[in-house]
Amino acid sequence: MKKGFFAALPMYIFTLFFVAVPLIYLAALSFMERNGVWGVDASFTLDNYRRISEPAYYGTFIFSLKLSLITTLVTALIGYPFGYLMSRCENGRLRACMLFLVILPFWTNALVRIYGFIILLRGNGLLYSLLKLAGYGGEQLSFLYTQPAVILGMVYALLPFMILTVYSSCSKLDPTVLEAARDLGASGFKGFVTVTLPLTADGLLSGIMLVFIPSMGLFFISDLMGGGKIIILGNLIKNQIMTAHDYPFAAALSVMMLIMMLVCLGAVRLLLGGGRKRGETR
Amino acid sequence: MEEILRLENIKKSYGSVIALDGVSISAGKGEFVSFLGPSGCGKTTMLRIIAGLSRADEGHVILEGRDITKLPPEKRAVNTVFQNYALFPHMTVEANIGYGLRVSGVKKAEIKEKTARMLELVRLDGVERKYPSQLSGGQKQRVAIARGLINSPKILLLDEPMGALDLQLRRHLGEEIKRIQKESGTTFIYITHDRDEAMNMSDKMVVMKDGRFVQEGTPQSIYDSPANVFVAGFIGLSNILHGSGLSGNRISISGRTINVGFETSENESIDICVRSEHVLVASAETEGGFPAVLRSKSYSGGFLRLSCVLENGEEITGVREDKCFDISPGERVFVHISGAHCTRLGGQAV
Amino acid sequence: MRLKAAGRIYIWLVLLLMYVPMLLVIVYSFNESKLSTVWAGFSLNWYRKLVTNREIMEALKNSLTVGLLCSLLSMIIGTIGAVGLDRCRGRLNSAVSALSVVPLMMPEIITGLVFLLMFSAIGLKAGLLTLVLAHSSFCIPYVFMTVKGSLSLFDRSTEEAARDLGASEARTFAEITMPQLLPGIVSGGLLSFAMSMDDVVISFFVTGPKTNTLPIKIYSQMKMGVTPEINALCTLMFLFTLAAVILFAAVTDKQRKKMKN
Repeated sequence: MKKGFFAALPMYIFTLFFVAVPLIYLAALSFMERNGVWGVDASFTLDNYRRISEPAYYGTFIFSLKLSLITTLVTALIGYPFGYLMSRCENGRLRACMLFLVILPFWTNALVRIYGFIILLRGNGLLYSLLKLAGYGGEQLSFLYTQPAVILGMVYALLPFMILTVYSSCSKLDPTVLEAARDLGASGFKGFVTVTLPLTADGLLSGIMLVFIPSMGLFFISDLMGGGKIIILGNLIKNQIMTAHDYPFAAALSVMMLIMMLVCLGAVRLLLGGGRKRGETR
Repeated sequence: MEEILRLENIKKSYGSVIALDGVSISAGKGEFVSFLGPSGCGKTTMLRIIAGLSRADEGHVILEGRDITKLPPEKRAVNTVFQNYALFPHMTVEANIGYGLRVSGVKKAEIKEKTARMLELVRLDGVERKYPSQLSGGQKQRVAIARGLINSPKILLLDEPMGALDLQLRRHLGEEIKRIQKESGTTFIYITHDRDEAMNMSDKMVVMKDGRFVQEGTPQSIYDSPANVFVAGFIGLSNILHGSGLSGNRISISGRTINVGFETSENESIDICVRSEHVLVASAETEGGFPAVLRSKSYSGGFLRLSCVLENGEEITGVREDKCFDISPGERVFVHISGAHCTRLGGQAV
Repeated sequence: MRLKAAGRIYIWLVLLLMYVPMLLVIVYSFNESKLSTVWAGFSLNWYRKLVTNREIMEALKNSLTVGLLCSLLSMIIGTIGAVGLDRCRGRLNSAVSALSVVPLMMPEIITGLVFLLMFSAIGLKAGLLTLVLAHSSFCIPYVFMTVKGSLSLFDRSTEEAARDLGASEARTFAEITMPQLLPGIVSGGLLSFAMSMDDVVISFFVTGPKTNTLPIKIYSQMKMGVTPEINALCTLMFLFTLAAVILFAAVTDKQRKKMKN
């Protein structure tokens, strides 16, 4: 018993000082008062949370949430079929090749990939030149630095996460189960909705988590693709720290963001919950 | 025979579950001892205590007169063939077999030579450089045995080494294990829940149940006179009858009387067992026959096996050599039990 | 059959869209012209400029230092932790096991913010040390998880077999346990290194004014505008990732082949 405890000690220290203490400190700070330009006063206040309800901040919250939800939805709509189809590919070598091509961007720095997009979409970028060749005579493109451009950037950056989780749960799916459903009279679509989707719901759910969670914070994507005009929660928190130096308020924003995320993910989990349970009793 | 291992009143429990409830045994040099019992009877626990992988709560393990109860596994001249073989997946067959010598610092040339000898003993050729994952189940088993034997242990412990193999292979490998044991002259302690394995291979057999030894002896003696209903049932003797004693070596079963070869006293309850080859089934009533109803018949090994139900509801199986016994299930038959071959069972019925 | 063909087309189309921007960067990195709209012939000019750019080289050095220290630290703590927790299961241990992967689920922005707050509270000066500490918060769980994965494939009875054959506890750990866990440790370490090298958001918060990491440097350059030098830098980073992925695949493939029983 004792020996195991000592071996596990580094992990206890890690969870204590890298997980538990920081989170408690964050929560505590969100109830403290700001003091001067840099300082923090250790007195209890709810002001930071009250400030969030001001239209400017509240609006950013709603906007950021909306943007993240759209991003998650689009990513799921593109990524789920991709992961599913990839897992159904019977040629093993081809499948390994596809997997490799998905894993590579997964590992590549998001900045590097976003950067390529900027080159492509710039007003006088490659896309513009191509369109011009095709007979487009209009003005320079103005797609970059808009809200859809930010969503595109997010989807592009996060898509591999969705594909990989969906793929891994789809490849665990026993194809004979589907055949059994077809055999029992379910049409292709019905078989998919009643068998495949419920059995792969946990993969979809973890994909959604991996996309939704970072999407509210990826300030560099909204900065680069939105040209500083699109403010998501990540930008808001970053600005509170870097420009306003209001640590307690940034902490309160973070706590609210965490709560909002847990609520959203809880809702998604409930929505997919039936399938998850059935999947587990398999 | 010279004694090599003695267990003295070993007790072991896990929480409130008693795994071993005071067992004692001795094994002789070069003997093949098997422990037979259903899963959960404590046989694996006993093996682990001999190997030193578990500690007994009470009692002593004595190897060649030396108390090794508190010795760690690496200090015991006892090696184990694990249930799933536990071959090292990152080492070749050669490296696996030679491991025991390598850790004791034996020179390379000697390891190579001994490994080759071991491979020869277990009759494995051309797999030296393969990895365990490239071997078949039977080959893995041989590697595990060779690995266990290379240190020339006093005792080799085998924990259900056939568990993962299919039936046909088991029979063949059983003979192989017996041969390897004979050739190496090592004491083997073999654990199994398969009575055929135990019966065919062992010099001595121990039947276990609920952490206790129920009976020990040679396979023949256990087969001939099982100690109680559990042993009889477990080693596959199905004809167990309940009767009451009469004076003068007689018992009454299902309203009839048979003469038996053991002492009886009036009105005591007696369980007997009789092997099916000593039960004759006839179609016509004769002197001393038990009226019964034929339940089913099947062919096995040149015999016709006839399963019947006596008037008191007990089942009895007999055999006939002639295969043209044209009585159908459900019809009336008469069963003759050879009283001289009835064995009295002791202990509690299970 | 037609559905299958449509599926194939869909997959390759998405992959194409995924790769066009990256390929574009690579192609333009070899462009003689400074403008990304015209092709003026092949040139290695921008790579030459890159290598002589002291700020970028400094950032690269920082990134490599942090990545190496981080993966080393994570490999040690993550491995010991995973093995330790596996040896001694209890209620507290399963709680620790669950909590320790929380940093992987945390939005990076919050991790970055929390560490900034913590470091400023204890008065730690932002620099390489703060970067290593903050990156370790997500690197240690990576190694912890990959080693846990290896442990789930690991047959504990091989340890008993080694003890039974005469190996001491230490020797068993070194010769039997470690080699079997090594692929998990190495792949976790590689993953940690790559993730540390890639990180933008957390680094942005905890990095000091003078210690840029490569991604931070790229980010600040990109905000100022597109330059061909960044094309070259991004190409190099992409090629580096490619090599890492191939290495990672080789390690995990080897593990799978050996362990498959």
